Amino acid sequence: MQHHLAKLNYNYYVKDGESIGLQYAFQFNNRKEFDLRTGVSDSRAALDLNLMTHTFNADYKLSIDSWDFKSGIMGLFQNNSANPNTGVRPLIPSYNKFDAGIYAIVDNHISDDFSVEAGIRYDFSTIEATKYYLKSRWNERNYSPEFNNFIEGDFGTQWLTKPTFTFHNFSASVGTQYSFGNEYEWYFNISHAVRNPNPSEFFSDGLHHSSGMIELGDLRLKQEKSNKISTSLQKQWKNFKVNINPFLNYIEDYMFLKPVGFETTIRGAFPVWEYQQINALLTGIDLNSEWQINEHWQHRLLLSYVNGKDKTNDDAIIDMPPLNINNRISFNKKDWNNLTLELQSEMVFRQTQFPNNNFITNIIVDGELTPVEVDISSPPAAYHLLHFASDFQFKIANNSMATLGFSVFNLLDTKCRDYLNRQRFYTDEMGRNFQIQLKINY
Amino acid sequence: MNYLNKTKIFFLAIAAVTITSCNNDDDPVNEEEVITTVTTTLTNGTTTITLTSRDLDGDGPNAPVVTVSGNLTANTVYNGEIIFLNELETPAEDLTTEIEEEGEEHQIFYQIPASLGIFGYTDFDTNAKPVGLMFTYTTGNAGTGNLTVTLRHLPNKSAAGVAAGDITNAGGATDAQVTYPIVIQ
Repeated sequence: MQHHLAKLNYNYYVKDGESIGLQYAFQFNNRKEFDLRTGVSDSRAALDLNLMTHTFNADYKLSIDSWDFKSGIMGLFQNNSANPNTGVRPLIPSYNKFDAGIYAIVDNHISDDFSVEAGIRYDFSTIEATKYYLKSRWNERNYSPEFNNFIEGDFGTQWLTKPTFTFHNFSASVGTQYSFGNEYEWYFNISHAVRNPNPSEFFSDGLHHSSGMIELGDLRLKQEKSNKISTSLQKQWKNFKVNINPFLNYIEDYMFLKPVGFETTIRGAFPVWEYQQINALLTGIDLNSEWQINEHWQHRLLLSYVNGKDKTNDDAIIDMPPLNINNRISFNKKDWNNLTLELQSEMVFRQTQFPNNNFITNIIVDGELTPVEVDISSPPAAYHLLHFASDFQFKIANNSMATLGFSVFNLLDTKCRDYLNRQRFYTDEMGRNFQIQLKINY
Repeated sequence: MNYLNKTKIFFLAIAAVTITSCNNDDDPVNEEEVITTVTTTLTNGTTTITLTSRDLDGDGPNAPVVTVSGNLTANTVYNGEIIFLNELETPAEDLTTEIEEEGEEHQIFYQIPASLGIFGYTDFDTNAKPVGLMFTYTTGNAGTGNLTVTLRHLPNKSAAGVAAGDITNAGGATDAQVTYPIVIQ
């Protein structure tokens, strides 16, 4: 993997309360994935992608009296090129992508305790990909005749296609902030946001060697539209702060990967996961608190829960994170080189709401092909991990400080599997991990 | 007023940048090392039975096309041979030789219900471990069932049972797996 980044920032202050900011960034990534090859010393990668991204942002800020105004434009050009010399069909095709957006946000501090913010945004996006589809895949996906206009050439068993998509999206949000009583703060926000399908959601087509599954995109995917209401209440006591944040998010055409069955290839049968869309309702709550027990000891709690409902099929949604509760207790002493010791408890419950996507396939038992049910749906058991982290600072020169950190992830080497990790079908999560970190600030 | 005071320029990071030349998008990927066709021949005297599994769209959605040229005779010893082809290339690329040359890295497993007979290896790699490009098949009593042939890359050839043709502990990666319907009469 290679990663190059170049960034230019320019801020211009017109006068007090008025400024212009410009930013340009360039990124280049080369990603190579290797697989075992049969044959003499062949060191070519099985996947070789070059991703180049230019982004440009311009922002304008103005504050007059109780009004804050912010507006800006952004542009992005991205080119992904998949090296065809790998001898393996690329997971993500070559494409050019161009995005442009414009936004405006107004914030009015009606009083010291109450403010209202509103924003709108328009985004334009176009993507042109170059992709070879196996004719058998093109037919299996039922792309003919609907997408025949994308076909540019006939290469025997494959179609050369140039799928092109253009999107116009409007997003908006309105929010309020209200402070009241004794250190209470209340936020309320309604937003509408639109997300375009990304290239892998459109174009995935083939075997993922890491997870041993066939992943299929869909050219018919539409934009995902989210309508979210969230509110947050915060209360601050002298040594204790609590924040509670429930939300409701209705997502039209929510995109997700669904296991749909098996496909038999010459390398055996592989489970097929396909991008599909449904209307989804996500309801959830985040809770966090901070308790400064005394000068040295601190406790933090983080709880998050989300419930996903598939409104189209009146079922649960796959791959929703289960309830998890994080407790951290830390000790800090400034006199001892700012020593910090922290113990973290991570409790992840079992996801009990999941759709049944199990299917039957034949596997060989005692030399005989025998139908078995493949349990691809059941979430793994709940687990509890303990992590330890510590660091302290010391002076290395007049103005330079160094931080030495030592941490242990999964202190008790607990075996567990994460519901959201597709590798869970094959292996456990990482066991105990030690990390030593030296950071020098100069 | 001094403009320099009003203007702040941040140079966050500038790294060396290389832009590789664009690839010619109009060339399809030349799929290599794809096994499209597995042909097993079973010979007894002048009788030859050919079993073929052909999947010309590789990882594509079409299932392999399996053909078996005839029925087998009960309680008979057949000499067997297997070849692996990539028929996406013209002329078809024969991958059998590579498997033979890298015999220590490959093994072919034959799985069949016990009542339909047993397989024995007759070719061996430089470590005297079986490869499985050549074998004997001693058929059992009359019956029907499936023969599953699996080509494993980098199996653990020393694991228990592997040299005797038991795939259970073999590990490695499956390069090809095909199933032929078998009729013994």
